[in-house]
Amino acid sequence: MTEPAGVVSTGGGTTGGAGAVGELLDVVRASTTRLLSSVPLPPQVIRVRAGDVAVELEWPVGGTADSGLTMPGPVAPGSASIASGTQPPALAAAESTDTTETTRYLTASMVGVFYRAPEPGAKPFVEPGDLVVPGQQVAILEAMKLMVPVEADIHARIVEVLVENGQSVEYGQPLFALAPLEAEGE
Amino acid sequence: MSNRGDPFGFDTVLIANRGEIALRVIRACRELGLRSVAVYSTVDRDSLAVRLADDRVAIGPAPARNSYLSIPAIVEAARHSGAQAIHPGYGFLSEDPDFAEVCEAEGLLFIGPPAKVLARLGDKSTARALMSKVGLPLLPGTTEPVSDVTEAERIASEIGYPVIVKAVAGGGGRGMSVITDPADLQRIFQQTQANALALFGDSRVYLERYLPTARHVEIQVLCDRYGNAVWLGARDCSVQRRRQKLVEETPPPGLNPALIERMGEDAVCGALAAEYVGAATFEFLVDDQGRHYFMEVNCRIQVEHPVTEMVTGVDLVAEQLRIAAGQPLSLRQPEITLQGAAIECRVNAEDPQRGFIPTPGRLTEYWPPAGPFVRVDSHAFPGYEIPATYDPLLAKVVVWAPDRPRAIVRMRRALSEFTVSGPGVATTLDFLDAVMRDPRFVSATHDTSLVDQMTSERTAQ
Repeated sequence: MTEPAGVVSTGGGTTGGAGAVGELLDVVRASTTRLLSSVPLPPQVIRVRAGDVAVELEWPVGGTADSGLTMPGPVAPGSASIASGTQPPALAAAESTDTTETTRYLTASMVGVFYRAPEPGAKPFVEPGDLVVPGQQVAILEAMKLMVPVEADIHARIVEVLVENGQSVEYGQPLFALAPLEAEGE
Repeated sequence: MSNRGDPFGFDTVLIANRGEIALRVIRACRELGLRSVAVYSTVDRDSLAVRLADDRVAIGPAPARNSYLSIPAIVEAARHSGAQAIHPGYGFLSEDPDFAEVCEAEGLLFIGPPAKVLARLGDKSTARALMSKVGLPLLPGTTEPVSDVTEAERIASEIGYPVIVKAVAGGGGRGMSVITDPADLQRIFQQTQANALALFGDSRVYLERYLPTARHVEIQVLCDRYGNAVWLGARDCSVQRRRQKLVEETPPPGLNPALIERMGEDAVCGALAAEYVGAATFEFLVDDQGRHYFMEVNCRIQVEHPVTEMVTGVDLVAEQLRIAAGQPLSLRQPEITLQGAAIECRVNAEDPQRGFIPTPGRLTEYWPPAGPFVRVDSHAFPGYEIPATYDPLLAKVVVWAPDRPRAIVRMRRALSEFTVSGPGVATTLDFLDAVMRDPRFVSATHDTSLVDQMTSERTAQ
């Protein structure tokens, strides 16, 4: 997962004339938008680099994406700043981060039958809204009478249980929707 | 007979395999009115089998042991999809008695022989003993496993060098080594035991006389549950590299028809003695004196089954499904006639210039041959990514003609139409074309050493 304030490299290190720089900027904008939509709250700083072009975005603490946008130019020594007169419209979307885009899925590690509780009639391991820690058992998968625990892999809140109790699932099928907690991630 | 799924007692077949054979089974199912279920590992998500099957289940990550070799994953996938029968294809779990037994226990119909027959014939020393008992000729060697080096030395000098040491649990060309010099026996014998343990979890080996210039000839057999068995001609698979077949043909060229007849009758007799059910292949070696020796039974559909289909007109996979459904054989021996000649070339994603190393990668171009009497069984398409995880078979080109010389000409024509390319991808196409032009192959004077001879001649040039 991409971390806030991380550096995203989008490959190819060639820079040419102004046209090439423009293309790179587009790539940088797209990456930035993706980055912003992957975090629940606007970060303080995002720095994106594509080839020799790097873009750094800063927000004052407690501010929004609208304020304090700075775009330093190519990081090549001595180069002039590229002034971007208009704010990339896509960046504005970062202000109202959609929760669905921060959702992480816990998927099935094998084909099998999904059980939410340790035994029939027992209380489910977890319910939506519960907080889970890495390693915490949240369900059981059964394949040919072999019971395999399903464990959370991050600190998160259970948003939704995606499979009915007793339903058969495929390998890789999403079982739980999780909202990662901020403590998670380093 | 009705063409619907009703006479089967099942309507959904899960194919526990991938690649071209998964497609082959899906096609047979569709023609018989049966639903097909493809299972796939993550790297096969975009495969043709997954696309063409009626249903599909993801069973695991790329490594076969966690997907195509995982018995629980396949059994659960059958439950998940409502399949009542499982076709194992070739390789993977196709000859695993444990898998057949689990299927039986779980109420799933395994399309192949019963678990106890798989166990009986999978153990090469039991199989040799059984076939010898019913009169099939064996190469000089042991029917009991040999564990002791001193005993192995005594037996080897008795049967005469060169000898071949084979894993009791082996097959498919793996777990065997040739000893030409008695001084090497101890080392190679122990090495083979260790390899057998690593490959098959069973260190037992046996000894046999080795024939360096033999022909590899096999008989296709079908048996129903009611003690009926027929044989459907012979295939010559002498064009091999390290016991991996590259070219197969039927009928075996230059062999006395009376000899083929004898081998066919032997195979039927052996299959009945083993209480076989389904499609089987009896492998024989034929020496330069025209004597045949039983080698082993392959308890599955073979890669090279299409050549038999081309000359008999029998759909072998459909027959497997009918037999599994408990139907009696639809053919009797006199009704099986062999017409013309058929050849199969295996186009592998391998580089013959670099010792046939596999060359996985994405295909940018894929133009298979077509035209009269040309059949291509392949799961490839432009944009297909050949995974590094599985075997490198890319396509089987099969041709039919009224006789062998015309089949060879047709195969050259078909191979010349075949265009396959992609970054880093090499194929055996040129090598196969060279086989089709090699005077030894054309005159049918070749034996199992042809590929090695051709390879050393090519390097010498």
